Amino acid sequence: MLFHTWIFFLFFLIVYSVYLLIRKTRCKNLWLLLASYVFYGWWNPLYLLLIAWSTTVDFLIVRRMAPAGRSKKWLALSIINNLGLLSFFKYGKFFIENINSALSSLSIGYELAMPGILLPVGISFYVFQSMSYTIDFYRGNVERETSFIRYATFVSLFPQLVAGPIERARNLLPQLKNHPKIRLQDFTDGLSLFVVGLFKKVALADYIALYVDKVYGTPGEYESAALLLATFAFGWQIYFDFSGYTDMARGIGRMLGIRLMLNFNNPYLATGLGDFWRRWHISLSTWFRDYVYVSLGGNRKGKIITYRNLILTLLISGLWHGAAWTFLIWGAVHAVGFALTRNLERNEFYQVKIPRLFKQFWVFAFVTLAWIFFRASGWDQAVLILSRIFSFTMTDPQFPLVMLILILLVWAYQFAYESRARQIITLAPVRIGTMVFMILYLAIFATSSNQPFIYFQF
Amino acid sequence: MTTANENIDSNKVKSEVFSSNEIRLTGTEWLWAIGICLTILIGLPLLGTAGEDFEPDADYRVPYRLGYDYYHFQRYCQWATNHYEILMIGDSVLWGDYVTPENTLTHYLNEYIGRRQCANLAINGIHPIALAGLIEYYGQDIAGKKVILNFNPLWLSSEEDDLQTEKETRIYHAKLIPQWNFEIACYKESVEKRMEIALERHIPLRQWTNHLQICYFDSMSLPQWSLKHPYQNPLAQITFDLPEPVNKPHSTKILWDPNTSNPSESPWVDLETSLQWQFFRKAVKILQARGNQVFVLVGPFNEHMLTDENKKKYREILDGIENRLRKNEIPYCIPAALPSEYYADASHPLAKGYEILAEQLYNHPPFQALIRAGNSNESK
Repeated sequence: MLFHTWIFFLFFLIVYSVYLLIRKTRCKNLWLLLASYVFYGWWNPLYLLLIAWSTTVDFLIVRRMAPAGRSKKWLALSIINNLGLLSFFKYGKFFIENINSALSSLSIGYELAMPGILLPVGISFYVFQSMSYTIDFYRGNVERETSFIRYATFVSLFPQLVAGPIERARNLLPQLKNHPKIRLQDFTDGLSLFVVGLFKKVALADYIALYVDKVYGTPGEYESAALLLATFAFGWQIYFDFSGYTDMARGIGRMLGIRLMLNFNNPYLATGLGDFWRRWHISLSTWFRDYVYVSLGGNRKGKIITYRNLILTLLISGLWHGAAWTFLIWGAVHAVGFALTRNLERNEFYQVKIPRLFKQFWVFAFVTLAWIFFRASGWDQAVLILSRIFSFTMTDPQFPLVMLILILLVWAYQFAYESRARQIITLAPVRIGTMVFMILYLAIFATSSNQPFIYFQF
Repeated sequence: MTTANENIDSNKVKSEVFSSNEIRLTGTEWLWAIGICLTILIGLPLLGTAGEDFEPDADYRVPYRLGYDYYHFQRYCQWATNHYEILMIGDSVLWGDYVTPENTLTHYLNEYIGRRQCANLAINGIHPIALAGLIEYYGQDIAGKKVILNFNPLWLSSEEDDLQTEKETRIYHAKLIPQWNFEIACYKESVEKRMEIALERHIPLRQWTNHLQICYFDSMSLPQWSLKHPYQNPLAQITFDLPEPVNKPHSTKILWDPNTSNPSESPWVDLETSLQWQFFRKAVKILQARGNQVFVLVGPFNEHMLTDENKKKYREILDGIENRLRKNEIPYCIPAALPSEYYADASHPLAKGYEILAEQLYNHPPFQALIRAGNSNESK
């Protein structure tokens, strides 16, 4: 079930009406859990078995861990279970493809059978969310949750179930424990967030996708300008698509009286790659920071180990996004970039003397070019696109002006948000005018689209 | 990636941040925003309609490229009910697929009657199931009038044509068919899409935006159009000049040749199980419920392309239709088959065919009675 469909609108209308009536009773979480399972099972009811398995195992592990004094073996079991699920369903095909390829290159006439496994939507998100609970409990950062219903609701809460934000138990579980106070402001704030997210997804991401898909579909037919613009557009497409989802998720959460964490903070205004990762997919970055980087030793074991940890964390983060070498390369590009510029970013000269706009430009250019590996269908295509971009052969890219204007408007808005001009965009007429513009654009020009969100596949 | 030394509880901090923009309205501001949006969204279609000159000529028929523009059909219905006594509703046979507007059945009937009494409200390419939807959702203005409703037997000539098959079939004007009638098994749309279609029928703005797309954006959405015309200003496209009706036939390739084409067998469906018949009855009921006098024209159909044996089956179906119409006291006309050379294909007559058909219809006593009768709203 997608947020930007009528079926979700109807679903939410029913769920929300009942929720408002029972939010102060014990049935509240059971109702949210039921709604979340209907929401998730809408794609394929079989997916429910997986989420129920992951939830039950982690709940029982923590229950067993508690009297045993936070034993490491139980933690290991939880991690093996969660990563096992992820490996089998998400990376199974990738592993077998590569094993077969290796066997073939060694002239061994044997092939492993390819499993016909369907990748369950959002598995990477809820597995990480559930796993964070066991790790946090092991580290003593969170109390054991005694109610299975509440824990299952925490893992499967429908607004953020399939594409995050990846919430932490210490943020979400207490909210599920309490009776939510839903004020009018919560509802209007939620609605504001939802409309902004809807605009990002339907009016911007799906629109930009038309150009990106066309060019990336047959990159050999396009020259430098078109490929560069398509890459530039993809950077915005993925941002609008993913942050649009998050905005909608957070908006729905707010209407339910649940605060979900900020996941995107104008990442294309970042002044360094470290800054970029503090603004892009914040819930995942902090997850990797807390559970991978810190577990590897963080920056406590000297410079070389720190860099090793940073690189490993970003490589794993790349692979988290998809079972393909291109994602690993994308992670590697960021890892190398980050490792090379980490000290620079901390340098006072860089921080003070280099114009902010220049820093923002190079970070944006770096991140945009790195997206090529993320979007390309394979290594060969990525190389082809890069080589064509840097051939500087110019033919008319046929990039729609309307699309460019919309992107530039958003970019200008973000610049204003992080400058003194913020005073202007805070004014009520500007806020109302922006909202009216978005609603009218959606109502008149946007087509109804049932395009899934890009991050669902992760 | 933030480092471990930055030992802040990021979740706690971030959960308190509302968003990365300032688009956050209070309750009162939302009321303002909704008020402005509603004013614009209600006002725009009204302004648009006022801005578009629409004065159809005597032989006007909905241009082929506006066939899916139900907003335009609604507008034409409104206009036609004010200017004509008899409204003719049907598919491409009534529309006149192989002829110019001056050679349609409507034109010849008006000639026989001696004045402009009939309006051509047919839509080219519409399936009878969709036609019932067209009348139900977009033909509300057709009330208290005389209506000639065409029944095209072609749609009974196979299970595929009658939409009885399980295999997914492309249905023209699928947005008009009932979205929750699962008897139409070949209609395989997702629940989400069905719901969207069912809801949008009741949102006039969607019909207007669809109208804009069809009239000014080559039937494309703004995003798709801008991809084809990357450097053009989309707002400049909305000229408020409706597309001119095309004064030529839509189809020109004649598929029936009386000298060389061989008769064939059609696997006719039973009237009892026919979806077309079921929805045709529904269309009649809707029209009657709105106080219209409904007259049914059955055919024309090119019987010459059937084998003798198959022709018998076809005649049995016609008998069945006749019995049912008579039983329900619905005036009708089942014209005799036209000469073979006046057909372009299985059902579409050529110009001379329409002329003969008009003559047959005009001389048919129940039709004469229809012409002479006062309008339902007048008699009331």
